[in-house]
Amino acid sequence: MKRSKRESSAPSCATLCDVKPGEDACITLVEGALDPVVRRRLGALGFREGEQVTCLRRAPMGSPILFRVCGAEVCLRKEQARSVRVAEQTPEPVAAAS
Amino acid sequence: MSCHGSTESGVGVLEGTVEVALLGSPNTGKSSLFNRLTGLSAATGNYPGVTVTRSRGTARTPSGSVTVTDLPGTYSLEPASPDEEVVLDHLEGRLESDAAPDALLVVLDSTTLFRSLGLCAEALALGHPTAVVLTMVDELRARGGDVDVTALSRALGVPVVETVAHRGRGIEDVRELLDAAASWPVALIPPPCDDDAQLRGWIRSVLDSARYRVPGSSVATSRIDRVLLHPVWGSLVFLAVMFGFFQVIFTVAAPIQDAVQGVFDHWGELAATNLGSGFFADFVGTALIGGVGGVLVFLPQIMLLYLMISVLEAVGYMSRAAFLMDRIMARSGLDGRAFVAMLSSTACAVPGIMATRTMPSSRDRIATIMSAPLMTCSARLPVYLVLIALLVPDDARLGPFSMQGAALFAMYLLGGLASLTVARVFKATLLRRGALPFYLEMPPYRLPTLRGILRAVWVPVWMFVRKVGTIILVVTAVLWVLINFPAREAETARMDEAAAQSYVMENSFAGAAGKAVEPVFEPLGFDWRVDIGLIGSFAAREVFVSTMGQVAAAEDPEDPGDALRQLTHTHGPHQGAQVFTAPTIVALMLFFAFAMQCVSTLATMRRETNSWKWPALAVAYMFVLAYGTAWLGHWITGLVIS
Repeated sequence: MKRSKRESSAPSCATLCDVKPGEDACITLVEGALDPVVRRRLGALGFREGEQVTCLRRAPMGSPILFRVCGAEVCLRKEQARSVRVAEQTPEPVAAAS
Repeated sequence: MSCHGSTESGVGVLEGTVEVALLGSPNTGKSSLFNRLTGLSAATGNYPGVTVTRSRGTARTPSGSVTVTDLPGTYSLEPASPDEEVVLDHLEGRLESDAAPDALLVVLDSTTLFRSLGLCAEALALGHPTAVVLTMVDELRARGGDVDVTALSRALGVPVVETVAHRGRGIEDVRELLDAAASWPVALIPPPCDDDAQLRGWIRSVLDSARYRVPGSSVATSRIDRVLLHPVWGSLVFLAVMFGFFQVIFTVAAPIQDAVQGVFDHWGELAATNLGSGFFADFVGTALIGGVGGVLVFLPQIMLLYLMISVLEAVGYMSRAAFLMDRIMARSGLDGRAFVAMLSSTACAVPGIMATRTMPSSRDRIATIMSAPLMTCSARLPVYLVLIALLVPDDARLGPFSMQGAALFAMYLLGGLASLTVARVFKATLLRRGALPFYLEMPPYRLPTLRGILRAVWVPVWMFVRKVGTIILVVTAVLWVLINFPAREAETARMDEAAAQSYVMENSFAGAAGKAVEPVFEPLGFDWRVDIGLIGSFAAREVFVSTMGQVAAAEDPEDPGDALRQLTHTHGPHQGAQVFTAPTIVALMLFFAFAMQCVSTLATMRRETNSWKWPALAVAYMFVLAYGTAWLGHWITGLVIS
């Protein structure tokens, strides 16, 4: 239910869970309703607003999902990926190389 | 070295040595650096009262030495878990056992500086003398990234050195740096840690001035992952790796184990021929040589286990296995990382429990420690082999498979299911609160170093031999005394050897103990002689086989099968009836599957959880489970065969 609703609305409401392997996305919001501890840990791993994420692959049965963020490869389970909203268009990379 | 001018609480453990704390995120090469700096001098233990491991050691420097503490890996100093709280408490000197460090050495993975500089900023803001070590610079450059270390040092205001810690490159620079630890600068303007946006602005400006170039993904790693993490190929490779793993543990190790057994048997015979036939000879032969041999026989298997785990870990495959297994492990409330511990426990729960040290959450760690002993370890194997041989005829077949093999497989399956179920129960009850999100970092594939592997094998194996060996030795010696005393030389003077042995046993302290607990195990069908075996097996399971051999006064104590089959009840309502009936054997197997019959595991649990509470709980819950299922098994089998 929830997911189909998200998919039908504007792309800015998509979550990390909707990013397909090989696609890039930009994090727009790490949901504020999350436990602050979880939010902080996701941030420390690189899942922060404005950061660019690439979905690399999914494990058999769809979870966990492997992402590339801040130069590191990190897996999240579906449940956590769903709480990170993304915009699928690619903005200016945050980590601008000189 | 003195610690003038350092923080006020600079009372080191070693008088006059500077205390340096190593701080860094998990997987940054922090522990490799620590191992390189301290060699084998490091001692690992938990913080008092918590299940969070730390290591301390002495690092040589050009003009002396410093004490280095390897703190648990942490992503941030704003603690997200009790495990990370310990790190902050240590840094601020709030732990009674440890003085606050005089200086901080921040270890940063140079390939992920955009992320890890956050931790560095928090460390600088603490106001301790600080220096920075960049690790994995070879990888950074190989993947098209770059950083100007001098410029980075200028931007941060503290010294920075670059290393390739696991290859030992740059270690001498770190030693030189440590020499001046007490006079490292304190950041003049603390970085803005309170505001997210400002902090990220700071990170960006620091990395801009250090001309940092983010590395691309490793081409080799993504190529290998395309196969190893593929839903079909990846799973097949995983199964093949697991199959190979078990083959090595059980097939390759077997001849080496036989050789070790042979050596000890030979020594036992030497003792018997040279020391005569008195009590002393029997003590040396049975208790000392037999006891030590009984432990060391598992050593080849445990070394191979550690060898394979450390190679798989160093290469980077363990994270891939955790990735593939996470969905299944999630059912137990644990995550993919617990898989390594469970897998090791099929050889022995001791390395399994020690493997939990890499788990980031202490709750998950305890849940795994509490459930890992239910996995079918190799000490259960000889017991199962004897009992299955008694229960199932050699030629019974289940389709193309031997029925005995199928029974053994069922016991392994039972162990695996039981431990996942128990982990789930613990996670849903005692260890419920404070769940961290699941995350798992995928390091690039790396070639392991011989030094790293040898260390990863040597340290735990030596601990096993030292700690565990002594416990088993003491317990076997005590058991030997209990079985052989009080001496009945007068009564047994005219008996033949076998009759004398069983007479001494029946009237020994152990015999009395066996008879005393007989009513407890009577509903399971065990008689007092089985109870002696059970009492002995609480020290170590495999002791059961040789004790039953002694009990049944068999010709060959290592293969007591035939003698056991003929064993009958000596008294009570079942007098004259066979002891090892199908219901009793089933009950015994179930009892062995669930009971905590291993002093070494308990000692390791105590060490790793830092309290007697968890080992005590493990003994209790496993005994209840063992007794309950054995009783059920006895009853159901009785119904089926009648």
